[in-house]
Amino acid sequence: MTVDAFIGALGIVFQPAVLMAILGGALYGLFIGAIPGLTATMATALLVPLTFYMDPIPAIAIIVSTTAMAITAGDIPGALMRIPGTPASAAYVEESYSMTLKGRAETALSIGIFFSAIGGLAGALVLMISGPILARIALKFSSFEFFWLALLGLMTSALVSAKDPTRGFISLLLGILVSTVGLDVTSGQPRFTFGSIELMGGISFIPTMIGMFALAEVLRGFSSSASFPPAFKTARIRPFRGMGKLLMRYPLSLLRGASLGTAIGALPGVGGDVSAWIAYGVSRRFSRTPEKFGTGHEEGLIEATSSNNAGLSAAWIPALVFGIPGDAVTAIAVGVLFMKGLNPGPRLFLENPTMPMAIILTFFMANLLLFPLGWLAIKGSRHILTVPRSLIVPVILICCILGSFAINNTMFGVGIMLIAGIVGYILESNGFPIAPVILGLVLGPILERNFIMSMQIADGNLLGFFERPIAAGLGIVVCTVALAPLLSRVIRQLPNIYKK
Amino acid sequence: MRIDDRIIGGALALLSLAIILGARGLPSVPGTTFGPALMPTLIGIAMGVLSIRILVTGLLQKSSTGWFDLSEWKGASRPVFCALWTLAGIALGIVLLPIIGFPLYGLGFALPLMLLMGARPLHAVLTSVGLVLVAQFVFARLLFVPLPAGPLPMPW
Repeated sequence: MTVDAFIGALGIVFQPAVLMAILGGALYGLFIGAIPGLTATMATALLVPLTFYMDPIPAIAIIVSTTAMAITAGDIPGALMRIPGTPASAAYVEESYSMTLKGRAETALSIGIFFSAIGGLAGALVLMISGPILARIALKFSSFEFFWLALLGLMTSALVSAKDPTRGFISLLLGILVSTVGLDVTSGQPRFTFGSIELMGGISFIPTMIGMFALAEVLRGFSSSASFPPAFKTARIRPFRGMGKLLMRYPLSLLRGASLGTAIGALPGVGGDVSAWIAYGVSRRFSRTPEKFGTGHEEGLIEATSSNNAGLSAAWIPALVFGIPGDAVTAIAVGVLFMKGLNPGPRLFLENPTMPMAIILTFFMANLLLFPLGWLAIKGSRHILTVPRSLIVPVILICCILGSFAINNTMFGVGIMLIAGIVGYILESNGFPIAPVILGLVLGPILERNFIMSMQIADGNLLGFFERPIAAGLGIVVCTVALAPLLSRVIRQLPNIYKK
Repeated sequence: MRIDDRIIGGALALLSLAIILGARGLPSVPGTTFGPALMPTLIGIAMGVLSIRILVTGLLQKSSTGWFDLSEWKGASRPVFCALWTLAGIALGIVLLPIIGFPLYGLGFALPLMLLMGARPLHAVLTSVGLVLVAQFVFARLLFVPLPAGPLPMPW
């Protein structure tokens, strides 16, 4: 990337049409993300017809700003109503909702938006500086590395979200089991579909997530064990107050979260959803106060939320540099780029470096817009907690029904949401965390595809999973994480053994 | 609703057995050793091992509250009715919504729930009508979600 390309890109981005597209996309993303059940992917897909009539850069700019804002705004219903916007935000929804229950909703929302924006800016910076290098490393990953990485994300989620690892792993296995329903990822044969055509398409994670988090929470709210979020403590809301102090107190968490998010987010197909989980797990592992995690503590929230948005920017690295989309949103964006004659890939960087630079600059603009629009969102969201529960609960339920219906435009999604809600309520009441179920459902097909592929390559020899250097490193980390509960128990009991 | 670990462990053990048996019935792909049955079998085995652990824990720590603990639902009857209305309302919606349309269903589901939860009648009517109109407009008109409109005519 040359200085000329940067200056040329500045000229393109600071056109009124591009700036309007960024602002419009951000407002639209804020609206969609704040509605429980509506996703950034859906928001992006709905934009495609509009992009037909736009020039290439405004078309991509509107997608970028919509996604960044929708994913960040998805944290708002997560913090206020325990309905995570994405599987990634499910990693820290317990933490942010616990803060809300303690009357600190303003802080939870401020952390979500402020550190998301910082993480997103960091991710965009890395995308600008080292995008092509990271993409080349990511392309060296084979099925072995992807298998270990998916397994690492899954195991971390099981370990960090439950007091009892056994229950965490059972939740995880239930999620992976649900992901096996539908057409088999390798052979395409129907599996556990019981003759149902709907089940052949698999079980979508959106209605499952809505049911397990939102409906289960509504059901628990009716019982006597419920606790409700109090209204904002002060009449005058000051969004982002205290964020500077948190930035000074947890600079390492922010840096680590943004770095992890960028590094993992750059991996096609895995990154976005895993990075927040790993970041949250790493934060807890290296924290001086790990016992505070899950009770409304800022540290893990900062690391996971910054990782989430950094991963979002980094997911564009393989999409732009090699034309390999990292997730559904970048897949749509790559389609739009092709439609506009801007074929993503190394040649785009060589032949027309101004264009990729302009796209990267829109990331900066979109993440900078998170501050003023997030400020407005926090100001507005205080009213949600003042609405009587007797009115807000039916509104949430209608949103859940519509969000589940909108996935495939059938009532099948609503049925999935209902079953997931009942199962989620029973699981949580008995100490089984529900977050690993969701991640198991999302990453299950990736884990299985790469596992089967690796087994076929290695001809069933499990040592083959350790033959490549990066795979061996990741494999050792996974084995260490898996044995961590056992090792920590042995270490804790060592003094007693010596005494005896 | 707390369920004794002995029941949970037993149920999970049965589930793991069902998974393994179900996986055995899956057809193998000619020419490949690792087919669609491999992953479910591994899940079944892992779940079986973990379920035995839960079962043993349950047997060692006999619960003082019995097999099922429903204490959080005892006392006032209104919360129980609210929970039942929610579950039954969503279940009925799966059948009724495509027939009667979203506006009628939304009103019929949300308004009684608001009243059951203790909302003032006027607030409940205004909120539920506003909710249905806004939701129908946003989803059907702005987001192009083909929500069944039913017999009620919409202004858009």
